[in-house]
Amino acid sequence: MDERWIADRIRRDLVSAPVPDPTPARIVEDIPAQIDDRNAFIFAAYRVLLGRDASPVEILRHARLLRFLPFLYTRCQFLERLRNSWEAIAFQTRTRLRHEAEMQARSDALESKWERDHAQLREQIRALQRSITEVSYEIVEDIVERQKSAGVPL
Amino acid sequence: MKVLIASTFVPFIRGGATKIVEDLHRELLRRGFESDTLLIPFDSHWPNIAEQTAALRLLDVGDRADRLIAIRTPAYALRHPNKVAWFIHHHREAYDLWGTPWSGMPDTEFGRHHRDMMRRSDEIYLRECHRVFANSRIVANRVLEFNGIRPRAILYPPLECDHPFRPGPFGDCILYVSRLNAIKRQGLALEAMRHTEPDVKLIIAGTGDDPGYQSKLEAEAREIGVAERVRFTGWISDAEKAALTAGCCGALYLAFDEDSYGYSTLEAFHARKPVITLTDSGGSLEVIRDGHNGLVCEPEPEALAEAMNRLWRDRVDGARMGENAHATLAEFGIDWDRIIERLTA
Repeated sequence: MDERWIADRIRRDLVSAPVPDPTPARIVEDIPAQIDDRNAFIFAAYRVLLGRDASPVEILRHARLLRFLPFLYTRCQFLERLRNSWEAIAFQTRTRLRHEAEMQARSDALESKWERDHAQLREQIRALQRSITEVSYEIVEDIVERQKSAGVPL
Repeated sequence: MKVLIASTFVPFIRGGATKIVEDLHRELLRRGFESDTLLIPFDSHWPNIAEQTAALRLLDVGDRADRLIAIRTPAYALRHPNKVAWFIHHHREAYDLWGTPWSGMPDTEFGRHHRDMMRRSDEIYLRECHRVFANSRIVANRVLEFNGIRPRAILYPPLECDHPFRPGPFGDCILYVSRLNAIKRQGLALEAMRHTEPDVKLIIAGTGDDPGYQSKLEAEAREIGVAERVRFTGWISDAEKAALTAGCCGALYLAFDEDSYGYSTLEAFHARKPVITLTDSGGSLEVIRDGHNGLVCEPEPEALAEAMNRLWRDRVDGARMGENAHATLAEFGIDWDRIIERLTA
């Protein structure tokens, strides 16, 4: 998964985040300053990568590690671990399958609409062809009528 | 230049030759030539042909014309110091139809005598022409085969310049415009209608030499149960023909071993409609290519029905073939400028 995409998602989900620190965190270059709040960062990462809220125990555990062992446990490493966890993979798979199902449903809907339109168009063309034929028949009737009235033998 | 166009004709039958005379006359006048026509009534019943040819030979057309253009057989028998022939067809009973069921001439001493007279007179009078042109490759080959004369060029007769044939939408009708007789095989088209899709319609336009022939065809249509889907128009004007051609999904030209492609083929091509013809139709095969600008099928009702169904089912493909049909006109040089240049050179 593209980390930039994750960062974008996090950025989008945290529009109501606290006012950013003017000096952005140096440890993770692609995490913007507005996620400076450690707890909010962990919370948002759980929402984005696992699709659920982090429990208080989980927030506390990761916040402590990030706070006290910044040289061993960076935000990047935290995100990497979380992203490679079985739960994240399951969530991504579920998301992908749901997305595909939605796409399929949308495609089916479009296809059936197209088929309906196509059938309608076919009917219109058929009606047009029939009316052309009727006009041809009218011309023939006129010719025959004129010949009859002129006494032309068949 | 003063041009005299001479042809024979059967009174009250407006055949292709008469049309060529009228069209050529009009196109010559348009191009600043002084043109006049000489249409001579001619009884095509074989025992009368020899004496009528002799009578034609005795006619004095004078020397006021700089060029005499002979169209229908045996107009080239006319005496003129500067004549050319635009050869339309032989009296086929004495030529390629001789000995076939299509020939009314008996294979007796009397019949053979008349046949030989016709062939000799044609050869003698055609050789008097400065140039002989043919209206199709088939006719050119026959002139070479039977008369030993190689036509200078093939001049395919075009429609008049201001013809009314225009493209139009593709309806359900297949149109067959032709003189009604056995050799044009309208009966085969009726037979084919038994095997077509129920919505395919057929319009048969034209009159016959035999006034009762249309009634016979109508009875046949009723007998085989297709009368509901077939219409007969009798004789129709060019405007009516153009209207029917514009609304059809294709045209038929089913003549047996015909000399040329037939005007109806040309009219359909101008209206951008594909034409169905048969593998033994002769002249039409020179211009109609299967799947390109029309369909060529075996002379069997089922095969013809399949071709008709194809045009009815796939109008997009029909329109494509129609466009190609229109392009065929330029491909074969079917235009008056070229023809008049050759005839008056």
